[in-house]
Amino acid sequence: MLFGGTDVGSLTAQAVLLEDGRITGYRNIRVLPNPVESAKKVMGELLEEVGVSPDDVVIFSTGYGREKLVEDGFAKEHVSEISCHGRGAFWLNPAIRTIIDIGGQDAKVIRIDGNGNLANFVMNDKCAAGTGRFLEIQARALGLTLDELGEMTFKASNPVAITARCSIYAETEVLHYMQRKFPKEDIAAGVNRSMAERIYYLARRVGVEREVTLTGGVAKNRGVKHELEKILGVKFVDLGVDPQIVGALGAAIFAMEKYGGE
Amino acid sequence: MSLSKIHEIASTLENEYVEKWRSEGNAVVGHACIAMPKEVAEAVRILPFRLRGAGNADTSTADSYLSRYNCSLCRSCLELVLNGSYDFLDGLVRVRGCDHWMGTFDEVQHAKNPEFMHYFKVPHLVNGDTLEFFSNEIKRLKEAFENRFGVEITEDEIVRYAKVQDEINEKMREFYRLRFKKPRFYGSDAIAVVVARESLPSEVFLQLLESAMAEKKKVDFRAKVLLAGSPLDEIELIRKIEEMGALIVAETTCFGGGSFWNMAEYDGSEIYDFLAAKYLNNLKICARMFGEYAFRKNFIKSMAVEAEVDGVILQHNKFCDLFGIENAKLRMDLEKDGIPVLVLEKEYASTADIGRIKTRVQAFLERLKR
Repeated sequence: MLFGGTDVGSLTAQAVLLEDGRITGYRNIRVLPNPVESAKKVMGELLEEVGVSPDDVVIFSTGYGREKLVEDGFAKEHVSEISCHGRGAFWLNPAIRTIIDIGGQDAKVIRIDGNGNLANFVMNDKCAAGTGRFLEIQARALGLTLDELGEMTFKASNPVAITARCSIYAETEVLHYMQRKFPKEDIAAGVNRSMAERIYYLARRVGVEREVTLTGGVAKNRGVKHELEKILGVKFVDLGVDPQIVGALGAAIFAMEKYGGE
Repeated sequence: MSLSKIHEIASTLENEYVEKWRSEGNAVVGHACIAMPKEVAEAVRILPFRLRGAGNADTSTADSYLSRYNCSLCRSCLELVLNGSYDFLDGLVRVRGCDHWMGTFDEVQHAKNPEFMHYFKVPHLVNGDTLEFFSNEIKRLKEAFENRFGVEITEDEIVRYAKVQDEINEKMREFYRLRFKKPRFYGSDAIAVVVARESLPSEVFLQLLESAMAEKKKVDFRAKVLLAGSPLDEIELIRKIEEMGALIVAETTCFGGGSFWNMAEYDGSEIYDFLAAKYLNNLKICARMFGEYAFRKNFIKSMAVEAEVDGVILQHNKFCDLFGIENAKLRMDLEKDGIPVLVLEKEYASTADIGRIKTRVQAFLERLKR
């Protein structure tokens, strides 16, 4: 029996397949305007790639459109992305107790217990501060790609201070520094540091227990990751998979745990 | 059918009973705070009608007066005043609830210039001095009503209506207890009941409440939750949360249990001093009151214990200074005491925001293992 998970975010969608307790395949795409279509597309492509019929897979959905996918009969059940990130990370490394997941529009700090169950969580308030969108806005203002933005932390000599919490006002600060001819590296490093500070404030609300891992698209930004490790005083555990698939993996694990014995 | 009538009243502003009240030549005065002593108004057949957003998310005109950085409930209420939905009011009583409400009433004054707008000064502290001050303020409110509406308010009549309020408060507690251990009503029903109380003459409401209490339901849920935080009259939001299985069995909010649970019963003392103590002490449930954090925390805890809840949702509208700040502290303290907490920041009546809220509630239920 195969078990699948889909996770649709604001920018990307993922699908993961599990068979005999191991990952047999995964896929990550840019989202379509409709989250239900995104989930169907990414899982459809993955199933085609591994040559499996959808009828042979028990799928759990998470992320945007997760309920609709169950109503459509595409997924058997849905679970919140918070529980899915927790379960996915714990399955990959049972020493994990805290997961920091930063996506396009959401930032979450998830605490799990010794059984991988959700113990507590906190998500960003109704604001883009501390999400991937914040980085996108600042990267655009700086004329950098997201990858370039991340690398600037390691090239900067004197990162600037970005004090505004609002993404738009932070962009105003970035533009101000650019007009005053501050080195781009220092401005970009300041952006990465300010992003890390926003996550730090969030994490303090539920506390950070070791071991800690970073998931979601922003986990691929080396600069933010470095700054966050520094400010939290931890070294993130590498889960050994693409950090963007942990939510979809968690959904597949929930499917396996519930229907694996049948 | 009384419960459906209550829901109907809660979903409209000028309901049929208000129309009848006005057609009989009686006045209706709007207000926005539970510090308003209902019995003083009702003693001369002035209906105190509490302002609410009634689920209105369109704030396009109000946003020209206030800003997007103001509380969306206040902007919603201002919009309803500006678009004429509150034109049935014969005047307003304003209280400095918070700066957002203050600004809202300033803009109402500026844009509509109502004939009667009384500034009812409610202290932020409860002590001997402020109780004496507040007792005098209630007398000033009475005089303002007398001057504006050409009536005379006697102490005997105020006492009579204080006893009516006592009866309603006791009945409300009885109704709330039907939601605690083995819930027989939804939280959306309870919010509708509180909203209806704030929109009806007391005698009418009491009759409706008594018959609604006989309409017990079979209630499905995964977890029992207490709702706390800023003023919330969004019945549709509560319904959505409850559809997910998080049954609201108690609230400490001022559109919920906080509006009556701690109200003292009339003890025969001097009526203005009694009302000052009754309303100011009850107002400790609001984060505008200084030095009463422990009261609010203990109120939440004691109600959580009595209602046997699985967790607490602390909610506030974005830019709500009072509850936005207090909820951070409450979250830490309640969690420390072993009560699971979900903090929800939201915009008033925003249907586009429901997905974000549902994700958090679903995860909270999963955390509660329900």
